[in-house]
Amino acid sequence: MPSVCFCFEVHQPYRLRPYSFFDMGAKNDYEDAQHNRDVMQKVAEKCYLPMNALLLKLIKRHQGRFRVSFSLTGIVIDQFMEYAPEVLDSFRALARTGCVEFLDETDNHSLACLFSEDEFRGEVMRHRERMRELFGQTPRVFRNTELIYSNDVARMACDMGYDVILAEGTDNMLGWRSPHFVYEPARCPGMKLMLRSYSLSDDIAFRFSNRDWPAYPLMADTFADWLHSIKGNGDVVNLFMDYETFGEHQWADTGIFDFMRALPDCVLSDPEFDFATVSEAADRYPVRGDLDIPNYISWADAERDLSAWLGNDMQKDAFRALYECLGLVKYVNDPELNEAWRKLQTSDHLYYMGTPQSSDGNVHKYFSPYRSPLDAYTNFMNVLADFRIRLFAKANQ
Amino acid sequence: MRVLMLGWEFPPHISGGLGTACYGITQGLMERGVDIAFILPSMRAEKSASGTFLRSASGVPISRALKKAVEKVRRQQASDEFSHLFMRPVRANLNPYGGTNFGELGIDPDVFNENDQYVDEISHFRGGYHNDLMDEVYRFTTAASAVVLEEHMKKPADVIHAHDWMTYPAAMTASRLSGLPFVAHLHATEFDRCGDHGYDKIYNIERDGLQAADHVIAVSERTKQVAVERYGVPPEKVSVVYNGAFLHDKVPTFEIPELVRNEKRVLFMGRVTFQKGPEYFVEAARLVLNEMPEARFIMAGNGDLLPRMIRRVAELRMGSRFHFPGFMRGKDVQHMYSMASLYVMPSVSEPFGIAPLEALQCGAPILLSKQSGCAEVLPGALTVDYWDVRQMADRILDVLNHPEMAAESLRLCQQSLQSLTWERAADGILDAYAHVCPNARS
Repeated sequence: MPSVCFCFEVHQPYRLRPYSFFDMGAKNDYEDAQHNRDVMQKVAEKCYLPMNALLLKLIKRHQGRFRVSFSLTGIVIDQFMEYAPEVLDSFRALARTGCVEFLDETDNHSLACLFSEDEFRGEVMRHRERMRELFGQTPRVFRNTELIYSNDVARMACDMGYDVILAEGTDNMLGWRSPHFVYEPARCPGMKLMLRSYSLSDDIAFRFSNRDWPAYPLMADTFADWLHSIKGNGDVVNLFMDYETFGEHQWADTGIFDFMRALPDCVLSDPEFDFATVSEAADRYPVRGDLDIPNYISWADAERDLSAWLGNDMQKDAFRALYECLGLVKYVNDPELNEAWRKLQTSDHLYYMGTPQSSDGNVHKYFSPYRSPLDAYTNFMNVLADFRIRLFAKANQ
Repeated sequence: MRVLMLGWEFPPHISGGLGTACYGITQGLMERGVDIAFILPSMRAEKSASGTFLRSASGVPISRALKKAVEKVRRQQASDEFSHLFMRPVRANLNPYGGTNFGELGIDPDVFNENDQYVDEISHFRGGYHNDLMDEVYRFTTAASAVVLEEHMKKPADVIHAHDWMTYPAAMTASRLSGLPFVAHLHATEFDRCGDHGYDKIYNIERDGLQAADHVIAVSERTKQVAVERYGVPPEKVSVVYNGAFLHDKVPTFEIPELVRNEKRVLFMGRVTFQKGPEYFVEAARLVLNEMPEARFIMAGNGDLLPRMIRRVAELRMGSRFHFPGFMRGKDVQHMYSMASLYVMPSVSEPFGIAPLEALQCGAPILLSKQSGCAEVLPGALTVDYWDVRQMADRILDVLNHPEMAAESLRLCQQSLQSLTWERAADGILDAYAHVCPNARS
């Protein structure tokens, strides 16, 4: 009896304002508050509110048979509180249905796992605390920033007490194996690894409105047929995607909401199928093998590795210049600097500097508020320079 | 004395370094009582208030006779039959422009062929620099000639003075048609802009212009040398006239935030192009930062090499110490200079270079490449070969480590600056005119 497992990633970065050289040492308001507010309110109106309302309706209509999971970054929660508190209320309403599971991730949506286990653990703990406060849940599932994963990430998550961890089902790593089973991370006995079915996930997230795609227009019953076809050859289909897919990346007029409205009925029309949250699915199905993944994988770009954030020298320079501040940030422990440091860590800043060779460049560009990756780099470095000036000044006091 | 000047830039209508220099030159000459008409390819209507002596070559009607005359001159230039042009008999009764006797002015009578006076086209130019530049340079020849002739007949002129290659073809033709002497002003050569990899077409225009000119004004000894050695101009035909500085009565002061008040800032400001040597600045910055990690570098400006410079800075992992504020204008320029502990101009080839003069006035010590013309008139300035990155780094470290040494260099340079006026430049230009027209000093 296979399960369909939706997990939505909800995130908006704090975008930086054009920060001039002359601002250095003079102004420490780094964010483009107006732009962030506009984006948040636009996306709330186009995506978060209508989609939350739709999910709530579907959950009620199917009386517990339609279930989904969410992962909200701390950064987006902060912006909900600041710019769109009604969105947070609608997430709380979803939590109260008992059919929605909230996952843990890095609070700042950062790459902390790559440079400091302490920092990483601190961030994840903060996120866990928030989930408890906001939704009354203590997450059992960990999902790292942009599905960045390796044996090492699994080990840290296992160590922190998580039962389940998510990763991208990359072809390189899977080989002949299927993402439609539950696995065990290498050297983490008892922990479960759930893999994103990237092909089926991206049918919704990327290809849904692509008129050149042979399957266009995708109907819910067709997609349900594809899901049903794993019967006898899989236990679970993990559909992980950006929540902004609904109404923001794919606008309402593409029919994405109608698609989602119809999908549960189509999936459930085969009585062997059901929906499950991530931990429910992990509990239900046995481990079918273990996966040894020594190198980092992620769900970003064609490379499915770290190159979306650390693929070129600009990104590496910014990453290094940012994280070499870690020691002093801890030492100075100034509330204002801690807060700025937290937001600067958000991986999107590095993502905007990306210069991938393939068509992924357009994806980077779609998300970027900058004219070019070079602008993203020089502006971020100006901000970072000011941050470092303040940090060093405090440290030397 | 009346001068008809041809230029491609003039503030506020497209102004780079060339436009700034043209502005200074006209101001200096007018101070000396010279009457000037400055002819530009186009002017932006909303900004035409700056000086009534500006003339736009856009919108000028061009008669078929003029066109034919220009074509004839071109043919003559090609076949080198110069001598016969000015010896034609004058048909004085064919003067569509009114009472002036063009024959006495030495104007080619073909221009006024009675049968061909209907307007063939109205000239139009975009002005500035773009993909159609070469085309505009050639069309400017005819339109500018029309304006020159008109101005000359309105009030007889003494000399045609053309600034840089874009206007040389026009000046050559206008000179032939009007009989006026042609003085070529050499602000920059194709070798300055592109090293040894310039466009042959531009080089050819420069060479033809400099060869045909009755006299040449070079902005530095260095540039004169280039004119002689690479364009084959006889040295006695070239006068050196240094540019002036626009001396401010008072430079505004800028508050530097306390957090960064004691930082050491090294500034590059200018176009980020081959000619300005930005890559040498970046490499020197790496060497300086190895010794002095707290130094800060700024590359202000835009240009085709900018992306490469940004990537190189990233590769050297110095982005948090090396900043790219982009193109600066107005007050920001002075703000930047006044924050700098040192201004570096590592130009590969700089005929003169006005920027260091501005930096000095804002109180920034300067380090110039030895390949910069203005170093000739600023004996107190620190200099280094642009390619000698190690020595450049040493010099930068010297300045940052020894502010008293930098202050002394600054003082000497500021002293020299006082004598670098545009009036002095104007005197030099009048001396140059005297080589080709006898009443230049009257």
